[in-house]
Amino acid sequence: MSFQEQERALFDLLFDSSVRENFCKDSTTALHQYELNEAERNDFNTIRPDALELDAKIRADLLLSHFCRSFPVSFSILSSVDGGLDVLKRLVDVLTMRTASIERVTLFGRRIGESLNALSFSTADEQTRVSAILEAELGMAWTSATLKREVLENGQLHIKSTQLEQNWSSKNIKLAPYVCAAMIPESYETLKQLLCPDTECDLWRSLNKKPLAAARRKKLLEKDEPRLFIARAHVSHMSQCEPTVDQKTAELSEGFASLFQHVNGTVSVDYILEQLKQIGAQDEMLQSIKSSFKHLLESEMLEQV
Amino acid sequence: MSNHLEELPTLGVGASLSLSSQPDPVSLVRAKGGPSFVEYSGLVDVDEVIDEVEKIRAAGAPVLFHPSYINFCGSYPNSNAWLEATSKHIESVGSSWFAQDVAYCFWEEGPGYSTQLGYFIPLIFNQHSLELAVERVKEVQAKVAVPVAIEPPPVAFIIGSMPLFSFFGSLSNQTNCAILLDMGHLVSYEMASGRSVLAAIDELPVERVIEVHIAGGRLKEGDAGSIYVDAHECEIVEQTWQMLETMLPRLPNVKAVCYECEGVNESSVLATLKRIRKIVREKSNCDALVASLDNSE
Repeated sequence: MSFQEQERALFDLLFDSSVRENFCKDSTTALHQYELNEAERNDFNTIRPDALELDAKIRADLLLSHFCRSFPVSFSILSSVDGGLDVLKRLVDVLTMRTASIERVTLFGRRIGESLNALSFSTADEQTRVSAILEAELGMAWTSATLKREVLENGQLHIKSTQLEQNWSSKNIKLAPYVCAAMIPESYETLKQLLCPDTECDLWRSLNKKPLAAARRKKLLEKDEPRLFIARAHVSHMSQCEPTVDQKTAELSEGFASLFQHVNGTVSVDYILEQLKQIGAQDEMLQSIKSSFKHLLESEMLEQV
Repeated sequence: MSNHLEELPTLGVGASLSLSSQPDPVSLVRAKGGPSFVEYSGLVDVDEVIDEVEKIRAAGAPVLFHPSYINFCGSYPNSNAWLEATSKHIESVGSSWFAQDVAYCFWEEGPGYSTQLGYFIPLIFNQHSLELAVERVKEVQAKVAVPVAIEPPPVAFIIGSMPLFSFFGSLSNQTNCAILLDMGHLVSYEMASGRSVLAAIDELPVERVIEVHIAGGRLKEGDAGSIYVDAHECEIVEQTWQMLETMLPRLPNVKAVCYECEGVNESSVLATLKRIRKIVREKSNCDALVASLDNSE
C-alpha cells in the first residue's frame, strides 16, 4: 500500500499537463510510473477526465491571479506579446508547484525571465527593457521571500536604528539587507498606473479578457526616461505563521546608478562627493546627491557599516 | 449525540462574509432580516481581523471562524505554530465551534492558505485516507478548545470509491467531531461521482450535523455531464436549493444555517436569507433552529 504514491499521482494529475493528458487517454498506462497496487490504481478509475481538465484549468487560473500580484507590470507587458499569456500558463507546472511555497513566486519570476527569448518583441532593445522591468519585480519577490523565511526561522528581526548622527556622511555605507535595485526604463509607479489599470487582484482576469495592445507597449517602452529603482522589503505585520511583507520603494535619476556601484561598505558619502568634486561636479549637484544618500539612509535602504 | 454538541448555542440563519469587502458585514447585521451570525474566512492571526470582528459583535451578531489553511486529511501534518495561532484566534473571537473543509490546503512542508494551491485539493476517498484524516482531525482537536466540525469539500472529480457519507460518518464517529454540510458541495459530489449522497445517508450520524451551508455556484457542461463549480458570488443553483430541502428534514440538530455570500450585493443577500428562512421554517425538524427565526424576522 502506498498512499503517498496516490497523493503524488493526484498532485501530478493537477499540475503536470503531460501526466494529465496521458491519464485522460489511458489511465492505466499513465499510472504505471507510480508504485500503486491494483486497488490503489482502481481508485483513480472514478475520475471524470473532463472534470479533471476543468479543475486543473480553474486552479491554474487562480494561481496565475496570485502570481500576477508579484509581477503586475511584467504580466501586463507579456499579455501584449504573441503567445505571452500562454507562456505564463505553461509555467504553472509541476516544477513550479513542487517548489516550496515560500520560494514559488521567485522561481516563477525566474522562469518568466528564461522564457523571454522565446517571445517576439519589436526590437532587441525592447526585450532588454522588458527584462529590466521583470528584474525589478523579481528582485522584490526575492527579497520578500528571503525576509519572510528569515522571520519564520528566527523570529522578529532587529533592524538597525535609522537615527543619523551629525557625521553620518563620513561613515562607510552599504546596501541594507532585503534591498534590491534595478535600472528600469520608466518610473515603476507610472508603469503600474499605465499598464495595470485594474486592481492587482483582478489584473490576470482582465488581461485575459483584454490584453494590453502591442502598440501601447511599444509606445511606452520607446520612452527613454531610465530610473534607478530601489526597493526594500519590510515586515508590515509580524507573525509566527504568515508574516506580511511589503516593499518601500524609491526612484533616482539614471546618473545615480553609477554611484551605486561604489556603495559596497568601503567608502563614505563624503568620499564619493570628494571624487565627484575632483572631476568637476558643481556644488548644487553635490548637495542633491548628498540629500539623496541621506534619504536612502533614513529610509533604511542603505546602512552605515 | 455527544453532550458537547448538544450544549452548543443555536445561531440561526447567518451569512458568510469577507471582512474586507462588500457586502459590509456590520451593515448587513443591522439590516432588517439580516444575518443572525456572521461567519468569516480570515487570516490565521487574530490581530489582523479583531477590529473588524469586534464591530460585528458590537452590532449584535456572534461570529464563526471558518478558515482554509488546515489539513484535515492527507499525509502532511499541520504546523504547531498555525494550530496555536488558530486556537488563540478562536478563543479571541468567541467562535462556538471550528469548522473547515476536509481537503488539502497545503502540500508537504509548506503550511499556508489553500490559495497557494489555487484552492483546496480534494481528498481521496479510501480507507487509508480515512485513517490519516482521523490523525489530522485529532491533531486539531488536541489544540483547539471548541468542538471541531468537518465539512465535505467541493469536488470536480472523485478519487476512491468510498461513499462521501461513509467517509465522513466514520471520520466523525472516530474523532467524536461535528459535521458541517454544504449543500452545493453535496451537489458537486453527486455530479462528480454519479452517485446520490442519500445512498449512504444511513452511515452519516445526522445528529452530529450542526451547521449547514448554502452558496452560489456555476454549472459547467463537460463531456460527461454537468460539473459544479463553487462560486459564492453567483446565484444559488436549483439543484442546491433542492438539496437543502432534501437534507434539512433529516438533520435534527442544526445550530446554524449559513448563506455564503461574499461578493453578493446587500439586497440580494437579504432576499436570499428570507428564502432560506422560509425553507428552514417549512423543512427543518430542529425546533430550536426554527424558534431562532422568530428573533430575526
